[in-house]
Amino acid sequence: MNALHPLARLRTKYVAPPISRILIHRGTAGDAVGVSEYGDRIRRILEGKSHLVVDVCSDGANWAAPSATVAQGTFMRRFERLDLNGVDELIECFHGNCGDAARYAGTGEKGITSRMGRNDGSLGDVLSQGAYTALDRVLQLSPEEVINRLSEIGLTGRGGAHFPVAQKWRFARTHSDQQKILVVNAEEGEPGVFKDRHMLEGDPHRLLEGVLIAHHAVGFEAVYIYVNGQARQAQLSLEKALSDAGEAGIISGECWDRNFQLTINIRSGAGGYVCGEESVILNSIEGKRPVPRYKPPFATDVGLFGKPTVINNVETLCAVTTLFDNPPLQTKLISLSGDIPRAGLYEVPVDGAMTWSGMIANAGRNPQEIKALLVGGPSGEFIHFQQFDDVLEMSKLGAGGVVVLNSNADIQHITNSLAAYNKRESCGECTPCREGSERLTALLENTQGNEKKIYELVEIMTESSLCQLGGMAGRPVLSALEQFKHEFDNS
Amino acid sequence: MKEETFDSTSEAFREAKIAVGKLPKKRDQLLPALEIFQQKLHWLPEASIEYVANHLMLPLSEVYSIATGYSELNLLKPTPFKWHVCMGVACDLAGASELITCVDNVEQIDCQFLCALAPVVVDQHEQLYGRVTTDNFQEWVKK
Ligand SMILES: Cc1cc2nc3c(=O)[nH]c(=O)nc-3n(C[C@H](O)[C@H](O)[C@H](O)COP(=O)(O)O)c2cc1C
Ligand code: SF4
Ligand code: FES
Repeated sequence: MNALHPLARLRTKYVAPPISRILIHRGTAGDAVGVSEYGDRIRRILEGKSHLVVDVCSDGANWAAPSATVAQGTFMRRFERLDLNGVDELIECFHGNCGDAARYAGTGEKGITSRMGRNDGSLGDVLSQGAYTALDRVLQLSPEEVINRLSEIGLTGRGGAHFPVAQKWRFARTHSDQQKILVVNAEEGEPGVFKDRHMLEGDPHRLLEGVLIAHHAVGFEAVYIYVNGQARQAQLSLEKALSDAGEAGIISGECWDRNFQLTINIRSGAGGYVCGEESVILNSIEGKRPVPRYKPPFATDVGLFGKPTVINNVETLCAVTTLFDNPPLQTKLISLSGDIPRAGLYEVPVDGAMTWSGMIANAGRNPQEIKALLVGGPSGEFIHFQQFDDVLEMSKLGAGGVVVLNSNADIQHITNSLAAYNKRESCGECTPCREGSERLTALLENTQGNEKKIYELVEIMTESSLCQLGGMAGRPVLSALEQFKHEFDNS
Repeated sequence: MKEETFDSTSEAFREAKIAVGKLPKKRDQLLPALEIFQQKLHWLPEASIEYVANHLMLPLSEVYSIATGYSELNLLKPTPFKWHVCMGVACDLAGASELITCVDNVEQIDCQFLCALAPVVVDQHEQLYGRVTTDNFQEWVKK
């Protein structure tokens, strides 16, 4: 009989990597700015020690890429915007001469990004950084206790619609006599959002842990993880994690002497914004045309292959894991881009402490030089600079895509391009959106005297579109017209 | 007119057929099957549609209706190599339109989800490049 704790047993088999090493931040982001070249150089210089130079994913700080981090236990120093001098400094630091104070490497020290860009993808590495400890705690709780915890904390979905997670899980659980399915929405097709890709590339075990917690709470027969077809690196890293966790007896439950009886499938999507809409994913997995379904019935009653189905976003399930940390932590990932020096992925607390100004300043820009933010992309709205002192509210953040617009940005041009995007992406299944999105782009060509028509059209689209692509297409338009009307008048 | 024909003896086609042949004969394997051909050949020639229809025992029309429904599945042979420039909001703000005009024969695409490294371009292997300048871009396109 092996008296060791299950995770301790795993850690003896999958050992932690050396404490002192150099992390090369690759991933889609690092590769896009040629970080490997520096990685190769560092390996050549360190010759006999090149095994201490490991490839990891981006840590979310895209602005710093190409970058590499010297990690020595809890000491971390990231070398940003690497060049040949930077490589020399990094080597010096690795040999003990680090100069100024240690600079922290990741987007968040705790929370769901805590391992992102700091693990080499091996099971040993993530286990040594706390992977599967939340699951281990959850397994001591009853399903009801798990769901109660989520509802006490008020966790909402991170895919954009902010539906309470506990409620969705409870709906599915009412079908106690039926086989149930979990679909993980990893389509991430909303322009301006890049968080789920980062999660999957950088810490896919976090998602798998969330999936297993959901399974403990609801009880599924199968899981389908629907990954955006173009997110190749994300899919590869997820596949590896699934295979490693499978081999280690984590997915089967064997490691805890249990039998989870769960199959996890990975499916890849084939394009389009609407493919992220949950019922489109169901059709897509069933091999049908990518169009939304009429609701009701809701997926929690009749979903994939007619079975009760929970659909959750990647970040949602990752967030579930941190609620079982001590103390529990609620955060939101922000994909920050546009005119801002430190663009990248941020994990911000949602305790009502962060303002838009604070976020902008934190990313290296004087908020007074900023005219507006575009929050939520083609389904979102503009935040006028006069509102910058408001705190970030979950309900306003959508999926967390934020584009910073300076005083030169042309709001009319951006509004028109968002409307044109919605028109292109309309799947054509319902008339209000198919015809409406076409008509809206035409009216936007000349807003003078057409404002009433625009408002009426948006009202129809909002109220009668089959899905929220059409339903929200008018949002950026109205918010631009309401707050930046003068920019349209001058045209 | 000389039509670009599809080489049904190619290694890629053979490999794709083998991979598709291994999929369970179930309706929900339709998209995975088409994706295998799309990945190997970068488009879906008629022979691939027929192969999928036969394997999954579905009518050709049904397979075509799915194949035309997804934007990442190509029924036409792609034009010989072209660079793509992202024209999403962040890339547009970062000067993507200059990348479009500084070289010939590029195509515009929507957001590539690398917005923090705008402007972004994509090559024929679907490799992304970030913070691209007109100088870099002109040089790469010439090669
Ligand atoms: C046009 C459209 C696109 C969407 N795209 C995504 C997406 O890419 N990822 C996502 O998680 N949710 C997306 N959603 C929301 C999903 O329909 C659904 O609300 C979500 O996956 C539920 O998970 P959550 O409750 O965990 O957020 C989209 C919705 C619409 C209408
Ligand atoms: S709202 Fe638009 S995208 Fe949604 S079903 Fe209707 S046509 Fe399709
Ligand atoms: S806008 Fe170009 S990558 Fe998103």
